[in-house]
Amino acid sequence: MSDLLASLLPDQPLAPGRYGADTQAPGVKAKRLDLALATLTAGRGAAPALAAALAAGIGIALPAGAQYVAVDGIGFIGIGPGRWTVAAEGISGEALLERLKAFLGANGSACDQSDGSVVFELSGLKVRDALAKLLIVDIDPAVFSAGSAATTSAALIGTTFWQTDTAPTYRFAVARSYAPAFVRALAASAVEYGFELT
Amino acid sequence: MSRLSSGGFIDRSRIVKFSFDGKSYSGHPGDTLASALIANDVKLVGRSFKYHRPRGILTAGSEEPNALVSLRKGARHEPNTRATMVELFDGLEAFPQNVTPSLSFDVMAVNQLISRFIGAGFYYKTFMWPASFWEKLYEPIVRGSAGLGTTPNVPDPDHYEKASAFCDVLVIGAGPTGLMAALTAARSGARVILADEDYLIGGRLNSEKVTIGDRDGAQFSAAVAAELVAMPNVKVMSRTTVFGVYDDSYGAVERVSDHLAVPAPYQPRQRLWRIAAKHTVLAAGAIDRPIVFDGNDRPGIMLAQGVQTYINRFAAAPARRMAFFTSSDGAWVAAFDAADAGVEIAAIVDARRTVADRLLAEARRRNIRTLLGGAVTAAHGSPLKSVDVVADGKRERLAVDGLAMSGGYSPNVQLACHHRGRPQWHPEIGALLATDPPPRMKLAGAANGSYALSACLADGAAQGAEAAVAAGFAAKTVALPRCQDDPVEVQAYWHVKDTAHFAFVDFQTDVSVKDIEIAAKEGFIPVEHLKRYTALGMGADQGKLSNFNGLAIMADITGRSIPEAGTTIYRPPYTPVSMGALTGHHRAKDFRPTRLTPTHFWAKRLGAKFVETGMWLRAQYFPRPGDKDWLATVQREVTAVRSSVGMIDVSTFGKIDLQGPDVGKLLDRVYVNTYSTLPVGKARYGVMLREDGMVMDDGTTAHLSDDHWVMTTTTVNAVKVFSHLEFCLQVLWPDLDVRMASISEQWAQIALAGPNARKVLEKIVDDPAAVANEALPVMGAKEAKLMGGIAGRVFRLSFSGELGFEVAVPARHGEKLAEAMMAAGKEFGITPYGTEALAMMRIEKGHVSGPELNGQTTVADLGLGKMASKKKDYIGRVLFERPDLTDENRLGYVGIVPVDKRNVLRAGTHLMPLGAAVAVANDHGFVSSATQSPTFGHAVGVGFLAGGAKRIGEKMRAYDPLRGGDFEVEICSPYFYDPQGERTRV
Repeated sequence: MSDLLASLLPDQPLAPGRYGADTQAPGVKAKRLDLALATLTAGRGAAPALAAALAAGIGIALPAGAQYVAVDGIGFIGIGPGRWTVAAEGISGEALLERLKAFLGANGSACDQSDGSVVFELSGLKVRDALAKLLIVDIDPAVFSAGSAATTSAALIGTTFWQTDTAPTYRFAVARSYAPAFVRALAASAVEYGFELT
Repeated sequence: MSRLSSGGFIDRSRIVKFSFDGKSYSGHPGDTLASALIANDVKLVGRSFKYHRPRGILTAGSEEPNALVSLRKGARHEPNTRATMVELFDGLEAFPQNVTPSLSFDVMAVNQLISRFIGAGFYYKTFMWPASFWEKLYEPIVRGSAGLGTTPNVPDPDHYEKASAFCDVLVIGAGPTGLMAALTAARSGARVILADEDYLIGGRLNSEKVTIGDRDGAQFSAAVAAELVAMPNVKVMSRTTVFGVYDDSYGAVERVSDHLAVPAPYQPRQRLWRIAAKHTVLAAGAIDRPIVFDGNDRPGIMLAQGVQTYINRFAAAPARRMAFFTSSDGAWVAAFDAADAGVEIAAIVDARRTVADRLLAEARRRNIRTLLGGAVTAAHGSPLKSVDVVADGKRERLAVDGLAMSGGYSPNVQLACHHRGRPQWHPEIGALLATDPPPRMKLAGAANGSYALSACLADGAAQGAEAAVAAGFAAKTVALPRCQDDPVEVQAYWHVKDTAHFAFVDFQTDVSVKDIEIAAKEGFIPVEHLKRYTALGMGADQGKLSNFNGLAIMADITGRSIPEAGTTIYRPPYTPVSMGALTGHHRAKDFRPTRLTPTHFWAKRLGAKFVETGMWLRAQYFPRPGDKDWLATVQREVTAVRSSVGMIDVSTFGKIDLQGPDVGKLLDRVYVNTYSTLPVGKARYGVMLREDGMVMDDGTTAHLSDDHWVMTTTTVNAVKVFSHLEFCLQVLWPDLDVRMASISEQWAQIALAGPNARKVLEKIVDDPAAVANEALPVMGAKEAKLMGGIAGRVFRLSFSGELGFEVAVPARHGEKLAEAMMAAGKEFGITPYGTEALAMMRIEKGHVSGPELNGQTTVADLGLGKMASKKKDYIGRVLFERPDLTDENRLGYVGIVPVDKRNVLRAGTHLMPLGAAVAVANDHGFVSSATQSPTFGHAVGVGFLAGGAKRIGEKMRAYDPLRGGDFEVEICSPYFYDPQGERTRV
């Protein structure tokens, strides 16, 4: 059976394990992360002040476009004018929200999304080939590299993703209710290269 | 066997077994089905569409109109495959199509005898009257004779994929032009995609005997292909047809596994590519044009390029003794190749009076007879036995079993027309060329009318360099290899005049010269009319071989030039694309993604049945052993809620976090009612209108703290309302400072309803006093800690009509909340319920929902007119006050109960005056939602009736012809259950 999906019900999440072609190393690896997430929104006309406050407070230069910038384990991904997704490791969603609020004042608002999205880390030698089947975004290293980000849809599922290193490693944030569907679409696209889910 | 003893790009060391029409044959790897059939002396391959005339193989390419076959059996059965494009594989089973009952004897060939009566326009003229014959007689006849082949009636076992690719330069076609274009662009550093529909890179270089530098054409193409494949900035895609040019992207289909009996493990059958290219070089080559004369469709007649391909590439001779009928130099070279391969050449008949001396000398050297200024006037035999030739007034019959023809070339400009650029007539080469291609596309080589090999190489290199420069790269010069530089003279020649009846213009749709004459006579002269009246060019080949000849003959008949007659245009796809490829993984349950609620697996463990609501799977009901049927289950759930307590996951509602100083202002402008005055700690039910005054959505919005609000929307409109608010803030009122975020996914929300709801809630919240009646009154909203410190939110809202709360926790705690409620409610017999019970209770309560918020109802129609503020402006107000929308006789919201309580009321039932005849004029309204209420013991429904509430008390006829309902009902208030809302206040 070359179509993995045919034998798996849509509400039956793919169990961790190796799938697909029997390659020595899996061509595509996916790992579910537990990150603290938040949306950060600048007030009307207050983006510069918000950026200045965050620069002074935690030493980050807020990205002005679809980019990913991280400092001390807190990453900021531009998702629209005056809007960012914030992703942090080793900290709770509530703590991240408190940390952000300390710098906001009247210049912006933050909202906990740690339960709203699931983040998957994708890597492997064939990850670009598999992603070509999910995304309509050019992720060739010539135009998309570490620090690049995009908000788009992957196999009809809304996502924000960013590249963290040149290996390449990508992180995909997808809405919680869509997470099984995302893994399903990813697995179907990756099995020809050998796929590992952890 | 017609297999030549040497040559060709086939692997003679291996044998491939296959069958056609039930007979077994063998070929070699490298063969197509067509070349293997030719090598096995199979001449008759199919029957034509309308007249069931015997047909053979006409071409060696994707333009093939005749050799359409079905492949494989069972679930992988695949009709209408061009034998010329099928790579031979071991065990391939192929079948002829449109044969009744067999290929060699087809009773439907009788159509030829009555052909004079079934020409163009036959269907239009014949199947018009009497009208009553249409459904029973004509339609079955027309349907029966339509289409070719049959589709399998079991699901396709293979899977298909979609993918996207990006490049600086897309080169379409990997012949000499395309190879040079790709090489030049790639060496300059540009990201290049080279796509070719063939499985062997090289295009005509594999079919013609040419020398480039010190190598032959095939060696040259193999060397260039190898260099390209090795470059990291190049993607060479063979077996890939670029089929369409769209806005900023190209559609292509890669036949990953079509050449295999079964796809390799984990491999798709086909892959659909969306290619975004900055610049494109279309190097799709040019194809021979057929010549129209009597019997030009007989098996054994082939285009000259095809003959050349079969001989040189596949080492298969299509005939033993051949004539060539042409008006271009290319066919002469094909004749020389055939002669050199051992085929006896009876004559080269050229319509031109003069041809290059070099060609005449080559013919003489091979003792080939040449007839200049001549024509083939008729062909005889099936398969071909002889042709009639006329030259210099002398007629003679040549005994041949093969005829090659070429009336000039048609450059493959199809893709260049996909943005509506019409090709233009170029008399100097006798062809239509693209003069208005899509943006950033250039044509090169034969596709642009340059036929000489040296010109193709030079043009390819130049266009490749230009594309790379345009994409921002510094072009590197690529040395042009030496090669033959003979000019290729062409004179367009399409029609041998005064030929008899069966002179075909379009082989695939059986359009003959006669049909074009009928069209001309009956006034269907403009080329687009001609096409539709005769079906010219409407086959799967889109008239690649026929359109030009058709319009040229129409020009002749009407005494006009070709530009005056007009040219047709091409639309996607270039060649047919399978539905599977267009669908990719999105089929069956994967048509769209499935969304799961935070309590999905909890509900599954309880045995819930699920229902698709949009993309969501929601628990529909929770059957228990002993429940008679689903209705009994749902009624049990409702009774449990009304008598004690129940719970339902309502996380699918849209939830929008609103912060900032101007939220109140925004809400006042988007809702019909006022929010800015809503105190902190309270929620309010609101209705939003579209700009046209119709209701868009409803829901509650709560004021959590000074600048912090949370809005809920219906499940179905979660995204729509969010984008509506985005539009309002970005476009309508950019001055408002509101920070918005979707939190639909962040929060799991469970509704707790019933007289014992608070008793359950008190055991879940960390501070029970916070949810007491006074501390959390009706429509109260507050943040609270639950289940030992989890930060959540509690709203006192009711959709069921009972005392109700909605409890929200971060989604990861959703299951924990459900289990905590079940444990806390055990002593009260807490009952989980699904969307059916939810709907049943809201109908009893008279709350409007999806069937009422149907895009055609105003807030007044829904009985909520009093909510609409007169003191402020809001979106939709102006148009809501249109006279028609405020007419008191509009369809208004009412309740409906059957007079005989045993009757079952159904949504969709029409409401008519008692005793009125069944007629549209008597249709006064309809039932929008109805249910078998366990609370009242009979059906209750809500719906819309002309005049609305003022007709309460009236008896009406409820008529439901679809499901056989016809009984008396009474119109009543829609608020059946606890109309004063006392039960929610306790």
